[in-house]
Amino acid sequence: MRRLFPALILALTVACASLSTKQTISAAHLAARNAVTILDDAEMAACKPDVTKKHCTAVPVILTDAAHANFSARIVDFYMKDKAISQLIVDWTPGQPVPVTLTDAIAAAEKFVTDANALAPALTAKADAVLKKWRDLAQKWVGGVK
Amino acid sequence: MTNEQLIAIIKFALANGASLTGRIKAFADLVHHGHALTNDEINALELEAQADDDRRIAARNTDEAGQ
Repeated sequence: MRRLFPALILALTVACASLSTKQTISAAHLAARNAVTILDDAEMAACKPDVTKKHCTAVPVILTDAAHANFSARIVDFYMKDKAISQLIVDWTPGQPVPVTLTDAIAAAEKFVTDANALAPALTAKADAVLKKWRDLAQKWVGGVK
Repeated sequence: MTNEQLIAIIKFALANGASLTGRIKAFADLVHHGHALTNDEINALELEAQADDDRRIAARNTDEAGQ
């Protein structure tokens, strides 16, 4: 998981500005985002929040309410940054230079990925197994950027 | 199965896939096979992801979240 965003930044670094480059970067972005949504869904399943969305009801207890609140706050921040990254990709017209702010936005989103293990250690092993597949795919895509 | 047949199936999944995750996977497969999407097709998937971001933010919309 930690290597996914750096791989995306590498893709940006070596990217020319063709439609195929935009396609490769978009695919890597969406794969990274998918990886986070898998972690998101796993955390929700581990917590089973009640209607207040603040108290975990899962038995046996895997996550404390405080851990769930911390995770929620951070993943909401990630999704806000992800929307900004996505809009930069949408607004990027093929044939134009790669937006400089795109690299900055991805670096900001990477902080969530870096912190993910500390946020929900009980989920880490399961999530890493799923995310390894995406890491491998992303590395193949990055290798395909010319 | 030829590469063209595989791409046709993946494009069908991209156009008709029920879940966003499945559509993104189909997109990844197309890229992996060197098939080009249009700018509008790429943007449509990104905008769909943005809408999903909004749904996921709403699902976690607590007093603590987003601060």
